[in-house]
Amino acid sequence: MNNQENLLNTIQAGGGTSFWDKDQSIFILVLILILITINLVLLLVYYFEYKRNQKLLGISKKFADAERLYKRSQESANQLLNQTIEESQLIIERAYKEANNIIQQMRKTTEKIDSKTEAEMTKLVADGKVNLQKQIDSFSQEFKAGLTQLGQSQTDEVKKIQVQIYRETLTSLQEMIANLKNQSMAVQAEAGAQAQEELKKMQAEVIEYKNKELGKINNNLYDILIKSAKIVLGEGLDINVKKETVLKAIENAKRDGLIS
Amino acid sequence: MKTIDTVSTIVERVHSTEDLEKIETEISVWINDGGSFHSTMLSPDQVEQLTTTIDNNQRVNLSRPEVVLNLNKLRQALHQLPVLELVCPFVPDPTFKQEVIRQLQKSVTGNFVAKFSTKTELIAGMQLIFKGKFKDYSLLKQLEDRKAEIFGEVLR
Repeated sequence: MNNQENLLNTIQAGGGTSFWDKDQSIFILVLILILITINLVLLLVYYFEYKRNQKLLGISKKFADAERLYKRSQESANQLLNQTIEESQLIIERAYKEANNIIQQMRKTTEKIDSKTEAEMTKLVADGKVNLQKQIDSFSQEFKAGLTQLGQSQTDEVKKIQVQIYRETLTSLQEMIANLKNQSMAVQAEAGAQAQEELKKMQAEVIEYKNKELGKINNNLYDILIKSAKIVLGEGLDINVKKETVLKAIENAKRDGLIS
Repeated sequence: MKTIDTVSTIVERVHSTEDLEKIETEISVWINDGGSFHSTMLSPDQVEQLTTTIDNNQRVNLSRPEVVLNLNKLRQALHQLPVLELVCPFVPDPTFKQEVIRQLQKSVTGNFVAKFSTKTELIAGMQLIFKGKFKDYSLLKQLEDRKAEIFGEVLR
């Protein structure tokens, strides 16, 4: 900068109105303009890209859209950043080349070039390049940081949406499961009660049938026994024995007070 | 002897429904056929008491209506006798009947008429029905009473 001021002062002082000094001043001015232009362009690029990203980064209420948007925006942002960096690099290179071209051309048009001035100009260009690179790096870092923050916030929002949806779904599922359980328990209880009743009925029927059949068997056996007794005892018993049983029965009747 | 006393003594001699039926038949025959009254169940003195009376120290035949009256009194007295029904597992012969009645007379107070019937399914023993009470002393009853015990053994 001091060299520039010195040069400008020299130019303003009017001294040394050689063709080289004039061109040198113009050269420096042009270079400065180029640098400013590059910065402006970069700023514009930054501004426009940021705006574009702002538009892209919209959070959908729906989980799927938010996720997609997030991913998309992330990709876009990265893409833009890369493009910006590339373009910036290109601009820098172009500016640097242009500046070099100007220097080369100026070298061609002048016989003598102050080595010191040349060194200063070269340093100026190099410094400009470095500064630009630094600005680009700083911008990309800030942009990335902003993206990260935005991404996190997006993630939180998405997570919030996710959690909400998950909670709602889980609640619905839990309610469904509870209802199903209650219904199945009710059905089981009802079925169980019916089964119990049926079982009781069956048991009662089985018992009734058993008793009936056993009764039949008993009666049959009894009939057989009586018939057998009649045959065996009735015909087999002597008449005198029977008479004795009758007289014995009279004694029992007297004992029982039936005859008195 | 008064008629009532005669009736009482006759009643004392009637021990079975066969006796009753016999007397009833004899009375019915006499009423229908007339003539003099005769009975295998009654003694001659008893018959005389029912058909004659003493008049002026002489035995005089009663008129037919008077005899009928006396006989009806006899019938009435006989029908009022309590019946002791005996159901036997065999057909008792007259001798056995007499023996049963003799045994019953040792136990029963007062006059009664023994009625014999037969049920062979009783196998042995007897059923008694007297003054509205029933008692089964048959072997059949004993078998029925012990059915559960018997069949318990059988079914076990």
